[in-house]
Amino acid sequence: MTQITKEEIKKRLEELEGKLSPEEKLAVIKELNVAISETNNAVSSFVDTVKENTLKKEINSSLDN
Amino acid sequence: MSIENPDQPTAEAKEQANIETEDQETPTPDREQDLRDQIKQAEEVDDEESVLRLEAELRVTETGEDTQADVEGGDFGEKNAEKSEDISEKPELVKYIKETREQGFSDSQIREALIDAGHSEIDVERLMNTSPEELQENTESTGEESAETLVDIEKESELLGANLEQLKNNTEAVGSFSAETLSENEGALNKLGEKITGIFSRITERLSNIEAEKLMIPGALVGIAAAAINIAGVSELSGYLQYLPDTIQQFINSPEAAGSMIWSVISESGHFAGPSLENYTTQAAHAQEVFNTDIGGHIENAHRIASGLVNITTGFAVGLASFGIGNVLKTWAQAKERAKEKFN
Repeated sequence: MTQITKEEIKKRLEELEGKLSPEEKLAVIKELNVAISETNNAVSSFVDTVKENTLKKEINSSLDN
Repeated sequence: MSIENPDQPTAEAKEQANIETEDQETPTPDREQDLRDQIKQAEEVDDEESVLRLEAELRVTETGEDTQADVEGGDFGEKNAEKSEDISEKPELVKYIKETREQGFSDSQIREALIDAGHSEIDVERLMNTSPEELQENTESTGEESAETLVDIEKESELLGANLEQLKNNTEAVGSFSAETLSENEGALNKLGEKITGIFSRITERLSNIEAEKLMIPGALVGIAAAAINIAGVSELSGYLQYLPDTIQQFINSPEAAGSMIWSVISESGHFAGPSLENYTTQAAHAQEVFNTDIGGHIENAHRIASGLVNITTGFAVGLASFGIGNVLKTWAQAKERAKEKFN
């Protein structure tokens, strides 16, 4: 397994820090926010669906019994 | 009338090229120091006009706007008439005019200094005719824009932190479902995969105007790519991989990464390991042993979803760290360690 030390990551991130302009940083963060919000919505919807289906199954199971 | 062959430089052009080459070889810091020395000497003899001219030259040298040839030699009139630039959008010049006016220099002195420094007469005239109020406004608005951007970055970062926290909770929620439950919801699982594929494709398109290499280390796209590939598979995303840097494309297309649990651990000790199958194959093998082979495929799907979400978090966490929010890494690492303990 290849391992990169924390110091190496920090160094590479510091190198990157100067490469993005503030406007680019803002654009990236905004896009990340949009993407992660959409992901959250999709996952929340999935979780709700699973919970709803599980509940329905339990109710049906109780009614059958 | 003879037409000059653009491929055959004239003697004048050659001479000019030589001047420029020689000038390019002159180290800028030396020139800056030279100008500073000259300013000091002019100040000592109270030669205000020379001070003004030299300061303008120094400003140009520092900002790298013009070559030394522009400043020191040649026919400025012809050259500057050809090279028209919108210097009113250059905040350092706006600031220079404002400061020199405040110091009591006349407009003619400032104008002469700017022209001597290599700016075109047309542009200098345009800038000099801008009212002091407009100059003030330009100076302030430049500063305000930067400050506004920084405030926006801070706000968006806070929002991203909240979104990330919610993503972590969602990841845990998906992880809490049994493999049997997930297998009974295969339709919803597939739908989730499709949505995340769409999100991945959109963000890569939107960010494609930013140089791809700059996004490599933040890992934002890597995280999303890893997640989407875990869920949707490489073939469905092949059209979007072109936006990623070569190194990431190779990483994604490697046999080890394809269809596997990738991007593993940032441990509490600060070690980052990846890509690695080691941390996930144990879980997958464990799951295979617990549940029967009929639902094995669904278990794999469930793991791909959970792994995908974790990979999004990884990517975003690395990305966030690059924006100076390094503690997210630690938080995520701790959360992941807890999740691993729970799994085992």
